[in-house]
Amino acid sequence: MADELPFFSPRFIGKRFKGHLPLSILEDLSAYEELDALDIASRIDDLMVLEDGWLDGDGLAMDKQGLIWFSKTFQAHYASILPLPHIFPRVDGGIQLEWNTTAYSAVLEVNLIKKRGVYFQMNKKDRAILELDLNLESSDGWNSLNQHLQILIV
Amino acid sequence: MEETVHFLRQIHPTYIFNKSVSEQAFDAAIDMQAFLPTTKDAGKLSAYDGGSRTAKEAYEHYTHSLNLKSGGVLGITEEECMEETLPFTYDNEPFIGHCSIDFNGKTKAQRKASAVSLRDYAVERAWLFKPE
Repeated sequence: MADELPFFSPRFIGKRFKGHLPLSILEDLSAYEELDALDIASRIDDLMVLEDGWLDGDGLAMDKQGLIWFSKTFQAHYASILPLPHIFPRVDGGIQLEWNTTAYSAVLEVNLIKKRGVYFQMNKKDRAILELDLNLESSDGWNSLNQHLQILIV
Repeated sequence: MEETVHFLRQIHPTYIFNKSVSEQAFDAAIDMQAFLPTTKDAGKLSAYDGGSRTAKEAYEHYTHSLNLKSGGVLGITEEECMEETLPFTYDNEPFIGHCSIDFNGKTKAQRKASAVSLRDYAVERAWLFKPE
């Protein structure tokens, strides 16, 4: 029975998992170290320190209040079953979330001032591209994102 | 037989995170103005000619002579560019051994898809040079 499985408290894997995980799925310690590295709050902290000109003279600094907003809204709305994205700065002062599997690639460009995102999803096999404009201040926008990202885990 | 890597691409350190490389590193739309000083270069991705420099030599030219930041060098081939219908030229401007890969004519979504593909090809090939 699932209730009888041993449990492990992975406090080192970041803020994403607040409860316990069954030991049966903790197969590879390196995978959890990677999850820790992808912890959204710590990555947002990394981006806070970038100043104007971070890209060899180009690249706007990210709006700090916008980053705080994004960190909170992501943790509130992003589906916990989905893989964590890699987050990168954008030259326009926004951020970009990226997911990459062998079959699909997805990108969410986030405008931290307008609180909107443009989502691109690419099927690597047939080259089909999906492009969506998302309102990230609304639950509907996040629900749509979560729904489309399900394709990464099927 | 050793593979010929025609184009060497410098990857800015901020586009490397947790062993992953952002697709932005292969998107001509955000290529650095410092590296593309004129508007005629808009929409083109800069690279070094892999036939005229090793990846280490390209890195040293980029970081020392041009004084720009690089977290390492990834490579792509002419065939991979052709697969993405991206024309390329060995233009030797603004320096000998410079190449341009032209993303003009693509929609934003098509451009991103091509950037993802080039990134995947390059990452699959692994780093050609990475500083200590």
